[in-house]
Amino acid sequence: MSASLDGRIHLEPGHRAVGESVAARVKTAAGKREAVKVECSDFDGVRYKVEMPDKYTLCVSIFVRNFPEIKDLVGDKYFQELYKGMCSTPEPGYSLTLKIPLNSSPDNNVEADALVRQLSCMKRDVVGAPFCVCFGALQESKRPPRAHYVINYRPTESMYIVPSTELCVVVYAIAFEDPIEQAIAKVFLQEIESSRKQSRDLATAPSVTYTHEPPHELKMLKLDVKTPPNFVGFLSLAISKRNLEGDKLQKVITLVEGYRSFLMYHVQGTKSQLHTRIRSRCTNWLQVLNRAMPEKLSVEKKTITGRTFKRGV
Amino acid sequence: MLQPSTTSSSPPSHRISSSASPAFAPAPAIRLLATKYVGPLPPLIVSPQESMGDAPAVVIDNGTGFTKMGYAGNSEPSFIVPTVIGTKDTSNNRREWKGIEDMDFWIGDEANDRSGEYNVANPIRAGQIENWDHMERYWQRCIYKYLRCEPEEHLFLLTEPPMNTPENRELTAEVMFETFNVKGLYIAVQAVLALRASMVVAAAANGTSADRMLTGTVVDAGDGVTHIIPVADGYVIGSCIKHIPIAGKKITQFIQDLMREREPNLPRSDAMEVARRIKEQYCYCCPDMAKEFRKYDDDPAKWIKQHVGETRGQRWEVDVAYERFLGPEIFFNPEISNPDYTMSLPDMIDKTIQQSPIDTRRGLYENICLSGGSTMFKDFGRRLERGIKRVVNERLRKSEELSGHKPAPVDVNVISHPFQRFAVWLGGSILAGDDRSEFDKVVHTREQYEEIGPSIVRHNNPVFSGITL
Repeated sequence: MSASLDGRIHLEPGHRAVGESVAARVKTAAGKREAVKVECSDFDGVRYKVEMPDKYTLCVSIFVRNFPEIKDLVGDKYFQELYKGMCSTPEPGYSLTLKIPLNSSPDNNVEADALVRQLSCMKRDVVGAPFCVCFGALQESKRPPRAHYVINYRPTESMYIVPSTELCVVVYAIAFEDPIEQAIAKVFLQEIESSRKQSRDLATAPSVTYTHEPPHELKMLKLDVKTPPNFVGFLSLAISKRNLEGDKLQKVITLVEGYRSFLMYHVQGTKSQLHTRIRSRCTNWLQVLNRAMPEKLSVEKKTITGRTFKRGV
Repeated sequence: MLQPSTTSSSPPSHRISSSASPAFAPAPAIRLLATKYVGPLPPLIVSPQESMGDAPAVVIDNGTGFTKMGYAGNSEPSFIVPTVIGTKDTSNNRREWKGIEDMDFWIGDEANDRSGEYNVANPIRAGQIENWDHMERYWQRCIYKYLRCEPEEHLFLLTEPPMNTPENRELTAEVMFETFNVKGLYIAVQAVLALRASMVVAAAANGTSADRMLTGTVVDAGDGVTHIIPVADGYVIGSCIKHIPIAGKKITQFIQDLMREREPNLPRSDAMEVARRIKEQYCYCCPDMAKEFRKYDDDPAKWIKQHVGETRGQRWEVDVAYERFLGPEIFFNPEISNPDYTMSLPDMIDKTIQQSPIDTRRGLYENICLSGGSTMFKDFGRRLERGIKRVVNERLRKSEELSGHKPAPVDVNVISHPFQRFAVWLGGSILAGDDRSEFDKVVHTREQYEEIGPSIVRHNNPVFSGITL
């Protein structure tokens, strides 16, 4: 996949609506700031709220379904360090609330951009926090504090992380509700597995396996792995240290954390493509049918009294 | 009695059954955004407990020129992007495919920026969806790239132009349910949403609660066509809808023609784009054309503006003069741009109302609401109101002359509000956000679709307690 296709194939790490509404407040002078109250959704049931409770404060809140669990996995301190000086008591209905004092917000554009990016990527950073911990440890060839991590990020689906000093295995239990999507997703996942094995260009990519049975990493842990209803399969990615070299850490976290959404995006894109083909086939066949229509359609018809009337046209 | 005769009307039984519904709920207050910070915003109508269980509905208003999209309950759409899609030729010929060409396209501004490399097309023409393949992909990007939601977990509110065919509606439902598996879908008539938005905004400005009865005339001037749509008790009176061929694009064209003759500096290649920007930045409605010309001639320095731009590194400067008021003037004196067409907007509105059922006419005059980007000119509403009043008063005078009776005066009101550009979207946001419990009742669910099929959207369910869309 060439880099030029990135904008169309991958989903972005951040939420544009959040980014735009934050940027409009952070980058304008105090006198020109507009009040704001925006609520929006993100993938995996995440919700955002951007609000200005008073003239000098911007509040960004996020709701994550399994936030207590994530907090338990990465520790209480994690988010306080990640969002230094911004954390405040979560608003009712939300998991995490950040307060940004606008009068001390950065003057220069570079810092402001970084802040905007950080806030718009909150979903990735919060849901992907265990990945950040594990991959960070892997970069330093250490073991993270726990032997395994389970993230129940969707009501019926989970991600499992099994770290070691050499590799970090991420397993997704994937389910799709719709039978057509299940079928497409199966083909898609098999295709990913086989092209990883066959293509030489992908030799440096993490190795992928797609199975119906829990992969042996999970079996060894003797976890109680429930297969969700409408189950499609287990997909496991083995992320090695090499995959994280250089500045790739953020990108890897984005891709790994957003894999389910990415898959969904492509499954539905495939459906659109199938529908396009169905439509063009239909038009072709209709043309054939129309050509096959007999020349004379209208035979004069009479009513019982012998009167005629024109039909059609 | 009013006979609803429109594509969007439901069987009359809906009205009978719903008129027995419980007392009207208090109207929601709209969170008006001032340009400056004025104080804490009033509390949200949707309480946190309610919104916690349910993801907010997605509201997408696909217009000819721009698509307005966002989550219900907000007072502004999150995105307003051009309704264009840029595709490549190869995406049609599968034999030439090497990889994932089906995803190789862009929408909105990102497509316009790449117009050299991609074929930029408009999937919607005159309000109607023309190319379903393009539209399906356009929605895909809207959902995944812009709104970032899982369609399975959200209700969707889409809009349709007046007189949309039931077939189009069914096709929309097919795409939404088959491709995106949306949780639920409702397709609302744009005019009714615009009317709802304008009534709620006007009521919030006066501090009163909005009247739940939806009667009024919607003047919807977008990019392609201007519609005048009478709505009585929430029913669009389909047989009385009128169009005039003057809208945003015509004004831009007219301004471009005026400037081309006078300004040699105007860049040839993107003259239309420059004209559009000039229209949005400088144009306004004048009370009297002749007086306005005199004003400009007496004090040119005060009225003539300079517009500076840059095309491919070349700086240029043009004067913006009479076109400042002549542009919008073609709504009121169309003959200045096209000698063949002489029906002005106020006359057409009057004609529309006069053709509507007699018992609705007063209501229609009383509540003329504006929607669409081309109604955003300064003083447009005031000028329109004066124009209509003149016609109406003239008729009343004649009637008095002939009969000797003094008729009761007719109240003419044109309602302007700062949200005209996305009034339809705002109406949708109010319907699916603040009136969520009602919206839940009328929306067509995925279960219904799987049970019955696309025909569920043929008729709309009643909405706005006792009122049918």
